[in-house]
Amino acid sequence: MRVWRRSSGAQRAAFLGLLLLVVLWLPGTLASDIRGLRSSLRQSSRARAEATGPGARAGSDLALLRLARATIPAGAPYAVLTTSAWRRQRSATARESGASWTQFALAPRVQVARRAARWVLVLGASPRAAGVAGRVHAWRSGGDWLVQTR
Amino acid sequence: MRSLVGLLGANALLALLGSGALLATGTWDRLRPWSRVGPALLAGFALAAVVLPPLIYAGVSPTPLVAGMLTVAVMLAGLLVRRRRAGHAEADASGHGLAVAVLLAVLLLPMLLRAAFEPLVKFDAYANWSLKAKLLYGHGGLVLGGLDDRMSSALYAVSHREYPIGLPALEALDFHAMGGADAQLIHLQFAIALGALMATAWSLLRPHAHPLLLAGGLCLPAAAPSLHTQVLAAYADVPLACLWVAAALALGLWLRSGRSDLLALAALLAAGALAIKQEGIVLDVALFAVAAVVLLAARQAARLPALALAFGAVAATAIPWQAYVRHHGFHDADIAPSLGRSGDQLDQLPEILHRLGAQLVWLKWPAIVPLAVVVAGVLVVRRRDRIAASYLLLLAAALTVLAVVYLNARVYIPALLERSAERVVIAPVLLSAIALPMLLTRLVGTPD
Repeated sequence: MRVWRRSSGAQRAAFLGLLLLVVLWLPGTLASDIRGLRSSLRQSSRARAEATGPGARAGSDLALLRLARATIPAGAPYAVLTTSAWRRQRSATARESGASWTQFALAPRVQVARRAARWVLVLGASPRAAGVAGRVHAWRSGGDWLVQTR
Repeated sequence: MRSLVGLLGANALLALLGSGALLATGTWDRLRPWSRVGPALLAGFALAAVVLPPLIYAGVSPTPLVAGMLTVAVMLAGLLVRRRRAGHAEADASGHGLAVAVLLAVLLLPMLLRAAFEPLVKFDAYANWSLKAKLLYGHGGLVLGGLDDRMSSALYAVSHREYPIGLPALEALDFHAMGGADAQLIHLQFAIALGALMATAWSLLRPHAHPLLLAGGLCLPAAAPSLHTQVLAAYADVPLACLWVAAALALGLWLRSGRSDLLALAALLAAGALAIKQEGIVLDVALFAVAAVVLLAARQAARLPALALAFGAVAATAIPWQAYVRHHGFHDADIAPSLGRSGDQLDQLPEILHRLGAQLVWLKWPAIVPLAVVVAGVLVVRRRDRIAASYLLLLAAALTVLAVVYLNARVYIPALLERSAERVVIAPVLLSAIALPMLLTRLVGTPD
């Protein structure tokens, strides 16, 4: 209050002008934050952790990633194989987003070339059809597979 | 709760690190106790972003233990430098800013709560920044490790391997302190960076701006929908803008007062901006070029060597990053400097200026830039005010260099503008928000 009393009329007017802008904008901004917060809190913590953008959802298999996270040891590298039919059915954006989301979801496991990986995520085909040899174990998730090789 | 305590602990460590830097520059003694918090945190953020990446390239992990050892070293150095400095500077006698801090905390509370539970769904966050952070965190031991050569394979090309890793290093430090890669809570780090900028602006500007106008001016960005969106995106643009704007503020005050501690602080913050994102290069060049022009216009060419030295120090901090990028032969898929390409794409300039300009006057920012430009324009025309002219020059320079970046795009420019224009203007908008209280103060009266 002391600052207010010691201010000139012009300073008070300028402050009130700034305050008016804040008052005009703030309610919408706060409402948006509160809507976003309520939307996040409506989901379980697992759903929030696995939430993706639309592109990532279209370009990856979330159930397969859940399985891979639970199965592939944290330090083990993995490879991803996709068939040409799988790639044709998805846009370039979805493929790119899905590949990045897969890398993020499975980190700190590192994606490597097929020949350097004992763990392979096969999207859109069976391991046999994708030519994955030396299979030790295989887990199915819809039309996709997680394969452990020798 | 464990994650939250860890995140706050990591930021306390960064504030201690920054305190050492402020002790060394001398800014510490110029500020009242509570006014030191914001600058210390932002300086620690910058110093960690500058120092951790070279350590990571050298095989050291960005853990709290490493950051703690770094903090002890910087604190000791800071205390030593302070002791050797003849006499302590007189502290600024203005308020601590606690009332404004409480007001801003109340205004930003919904965003802070939202940040703590926000899923990480934005492309660049999971494809680039937080992906690298998660990999650095997962591959690091207590002291060694972090960077795995396999991360630099072509399979990770989308993650922009050529970008600086200052932000991933900071996020990895947070993850270590949190005890896990909490992809939701990490959004709070971006809100903390914004809060540190606002606190720094209060601390540095208070002697030059009327407290009411400063408080009102700092509330403006807090009400901006676009800023909230960008904080919650967990992209590098907000931390980059915070560091660059704080550097611009410190450099502007150095131009005015000649206090060497402010030049050192500006250099540290500008180096931090450079360590966060590619755009830091062009924004820092614009900042130091404008400062040089202002010195020449004021017939103070004798101060140019100090400015050049500071710029050289900033540029030198990019050497480890550039050496790493060149050693691995990484190239930016989106942007590459080329005079030929810029010339060929010159017809896109009106579209670039239109899109960037539209963002500046967009309703998602509460008239910050138009208001600051009008006030500065009045000050320049009526009073030939140098500070107002300097702000206008820096705003124009920042927009020019950003436009030049777009002209050098290797991808379809309208598409690049579509996905990035909203966030690249954060730096110029926050610059305007921070400049506005000082400009208004100069227009309507004295600071007190």
